[in-house]
Amino acid sequence: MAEQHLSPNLRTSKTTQKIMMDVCFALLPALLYAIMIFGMNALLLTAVSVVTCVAAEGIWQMLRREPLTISDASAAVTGILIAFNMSSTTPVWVVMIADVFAIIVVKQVFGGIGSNVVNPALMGRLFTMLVYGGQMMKYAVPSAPDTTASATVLSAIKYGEQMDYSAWEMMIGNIPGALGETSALLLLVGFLYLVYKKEVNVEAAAVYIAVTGLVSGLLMGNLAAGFFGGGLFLGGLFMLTDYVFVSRKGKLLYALTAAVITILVRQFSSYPEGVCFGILIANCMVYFLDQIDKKPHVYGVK
Amino acid sequence: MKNQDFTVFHGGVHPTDGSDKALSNTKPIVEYTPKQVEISMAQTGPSICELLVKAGDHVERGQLIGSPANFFAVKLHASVSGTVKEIKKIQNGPKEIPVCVIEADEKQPPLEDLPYRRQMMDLASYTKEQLISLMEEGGITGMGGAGFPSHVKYKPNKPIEYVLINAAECEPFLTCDHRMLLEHGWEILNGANAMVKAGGAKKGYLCMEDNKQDVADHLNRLLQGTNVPLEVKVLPTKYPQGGERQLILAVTGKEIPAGGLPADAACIVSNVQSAKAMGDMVFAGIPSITRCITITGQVKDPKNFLVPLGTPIRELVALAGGIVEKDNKVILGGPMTGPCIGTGMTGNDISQCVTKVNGGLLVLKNDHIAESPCIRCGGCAMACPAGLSPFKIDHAYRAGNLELCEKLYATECIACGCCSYTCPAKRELTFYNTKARDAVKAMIRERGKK
Repeated sequence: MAEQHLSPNLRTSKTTQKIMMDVCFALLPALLYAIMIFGMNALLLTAVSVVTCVAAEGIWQMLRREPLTISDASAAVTGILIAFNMSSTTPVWVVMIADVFAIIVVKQVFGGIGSNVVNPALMGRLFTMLVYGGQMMKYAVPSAPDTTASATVLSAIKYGEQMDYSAWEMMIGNIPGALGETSALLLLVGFLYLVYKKEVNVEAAAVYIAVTGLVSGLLMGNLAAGFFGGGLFLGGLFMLTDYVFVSRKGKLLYALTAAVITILVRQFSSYPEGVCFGILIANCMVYFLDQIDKKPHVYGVK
Repeated sequence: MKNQDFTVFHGGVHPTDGSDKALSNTKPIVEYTPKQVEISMAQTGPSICELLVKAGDHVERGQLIGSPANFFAVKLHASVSGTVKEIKKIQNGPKEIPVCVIEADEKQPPLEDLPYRRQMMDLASYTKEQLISLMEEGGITGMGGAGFPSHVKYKPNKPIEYVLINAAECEPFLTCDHRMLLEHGWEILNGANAMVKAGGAKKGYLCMEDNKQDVADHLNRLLQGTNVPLEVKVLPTKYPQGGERQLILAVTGKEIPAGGLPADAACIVSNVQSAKAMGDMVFAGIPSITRCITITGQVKDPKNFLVPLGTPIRELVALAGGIVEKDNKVILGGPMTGPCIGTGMTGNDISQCVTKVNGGLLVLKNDHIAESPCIRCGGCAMACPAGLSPFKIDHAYRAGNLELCEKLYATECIACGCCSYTCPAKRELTFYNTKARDAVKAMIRERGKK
């Protein structure tokens, strides 16, 4: 009999698939809100993105004769996150290119789930942002979803343009931006669900959001914009800690590294938003940061 | 919490909600003597005894039938009065292990009603040395699973302050220790008291998880008004609270240094059923020939049995109403550390017989799990009570990098199972971490030889 049972014979009911499905579920409130303010295009882009990601992973694995892992739902999570990082007016084919790049080049080439160095969704987004910058930087305005404003709250502040949104509007997400990033409040609701399920790393997310929001908010002279004006909540809650393990001390450094880079990009680069860079660069430093905690407490070792 | 008088060890898991133990922790112990017992000369994996009787011999209950043939073995006695029917040979890997089959006499000698079953006994007439030699004569060993000879444990080369009687019973499902404490409290207290004296310790702690508050109350009542250095210690319910290293940390706040023994923290840890055996030996002259075992899980009527060594487990399964789940896996011992002895079993096909270290037989629904890639969630590192990063050791071992395993302190793995339990990707972390531990230890020994 091939079936093998090794001790312990009791295992948690939690599986990779259940965790990933919970993440999808946690992103649902923000998706519904996106559909509400940006229209059905938000749903279309998200659906296409999920299907493309799952298909890309499946086809890649079939061609390579690798075991099929699409049922773990991690590709679906990547698909949702890529769509969430795009304007609702982005052409479908741009989203699909981001999907394929994320799944094939960022995830599978490095060995698939758990072996990728950086977050596939953010890298996919960055790739298309650099290649198709023009289309990517135009964001839909909630009140008139078919017209695009080229500015977000952060870019308006950066370039001294006029933009009047109250702190409350920014928090609930009634502002221009990528389709899933605008509602900090609903993203937080989803995140709290994952906290309840004990499936997320609260410390890292909290440190990253608190430091970035506070410092960049003060530097911009608009605290609400610092916290809610861009993609800080989407990035901090759902992509920073998307399973890149760092030791206990390392976690804090990891969050701070991402925060410092985000703040620097927001303040000094030509880009208004730095969340994407902050997280990707911190991702690259995980192995280094993990080693800083040289003496983890091992029982009986002084 | 200022008042807490225990240390919480790092990590650990809560595998169940208590409904597992509720299956059998209210069931009084059933005493059962089978028609025939099969006593293996290897009561634990590494131990082996030399058989002293042959087919046709008549043996009395408590008569010596096996003398220790290696360091891990203790004396072995006939658990029933009867006739040696045959000497079976059982193949265990490269080793051939003799099994003494004794047909029990119709009439077994009755147990005398002795005072140590009702009250605290005076130990003034025993010296420490006498008690240790009684331990050796009685074949007393660690009955929690590891089966380390007690008389060796009680002769450490370091001074001992505390004897910890391990009644944590942190393995889910098992309730044999729980019931023994409730129904054989005096024997255990007398045995524990003798162990404290044998160890030359100033105090003995009876340590249990707070899911056994009824036991703690019961023992405190028994101890009231007595003048013995015993104290009941109630600890949080968390697996592996009963791990030797975790228990010492919880009770004394001290860690055993890496590579050390409990004696390095001035402690000796003994299982509660070993304490019972000690009580029986010292005050009734009965060596270690019985134990309590829980038959539970997917059986009709989960029960606790007090049986002679060598009782065929299949008979106990039948007495517990038989297996009710067809798609099952059967585990010898607790679900966290016990090995799976088969799947899809009917009950009659269980060939194992009770040994000194069997705490239970558990039937679980087969979960048909399969490994998937590690998602680096870090859950195993959070759960590891030794403070390791099991997923890193797992990666390093599978990549053949033993040097890295050593740097990651693979030697400190206690094989508790928390990492595999908690892993959402169902990786066999415990299996590979223990393999890494053993391989690194072997590598270090080789290095020492050069």
